Amino acid sequence: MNVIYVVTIVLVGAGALAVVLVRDLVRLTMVASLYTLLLVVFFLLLHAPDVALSELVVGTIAYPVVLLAAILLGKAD
Amino acid sequence: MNVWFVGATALLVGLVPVAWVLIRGDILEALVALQLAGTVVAIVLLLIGEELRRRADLRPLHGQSRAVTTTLDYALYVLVGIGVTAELVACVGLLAMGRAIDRLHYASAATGIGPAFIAAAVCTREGVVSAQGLAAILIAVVLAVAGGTLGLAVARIVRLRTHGTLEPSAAERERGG
Repeated sequence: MNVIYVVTIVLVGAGALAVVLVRDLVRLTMVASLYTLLLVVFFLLLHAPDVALSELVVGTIAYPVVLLAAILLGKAD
Repeated sequence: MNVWFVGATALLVGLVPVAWVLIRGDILEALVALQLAGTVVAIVLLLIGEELRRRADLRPLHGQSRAVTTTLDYALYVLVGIGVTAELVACVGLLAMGRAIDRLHYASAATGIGPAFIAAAVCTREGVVSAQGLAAILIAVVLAVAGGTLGLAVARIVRLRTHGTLEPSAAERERGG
C-alpha cells in the first residue's frame, strides 16, 4: 500500500479521536473542520471526488455553521 | 511513490504540528492554525489531483522497459520541493511561535510562496496554456488573495481580543506603529 494512504488513515483516526476528546465546543467546531478536510483528502485518494466535494461542503461549511448557531443559541438561553 | 505523492505525504505529516496548535493553543491560535490547515490541505488536494490525473494518462510503453528521468522531471522535483518546504516551514513556524499574531505571519506566508511554486510545477509539466496549468494558476491566485484577506480579518480579531481596539496605543505611535 502506498505510504500516503497509511499516513492519511492514521491522521483520520487521530482526528476522529481528537474530535471526541475535545471538550470546548467552539474548539470542537474547528477540530471537526480539520477532521473533515482530512476526510476529503482520504476520499480523493479513494478515487471518489464526488464524495469528497459533498463532504467538503457539508463538513467545512454547513456543519460548523449549524454547530456555531446551536452554541450561540444555547448561550442565549 | 513519485514527487506529487511524496510532497502530499510530507504536507499531511506537516499538519501534525498545526493540529497540535489547534487543539492545545488558545482560541485565537486555534483560528490561525485552522487557516493554515485549510491552505495546506488545498495544496495537498492539488498535488493528489495532479498525480491521479497523471496516472490516468499512463499508457504501456513498447520497447522501453524502464522510466527515464528527464530534465523536466528534475525541474519538477525542485519546484515541488521548494513549494512543499515553504509550507512545512510555515507549519513548524506556527508551532514555534508563542503568540497568535506571530503565528499568523507563518499562516499568511503559506498562502503565497508554496502555492506559487506548486502551480509553477504543474505548469512546467502540463504547459501554462492548458486546463490544468490555468487551473493551478487560478488556485494559487485565489489562495493568495483569500489568504491575505483572511489573514487581515484574523489579525483584526486578534488585535480586538488582545487590545480591545484597532487604534494604536501611545507607545506604538511613538515607535511609529
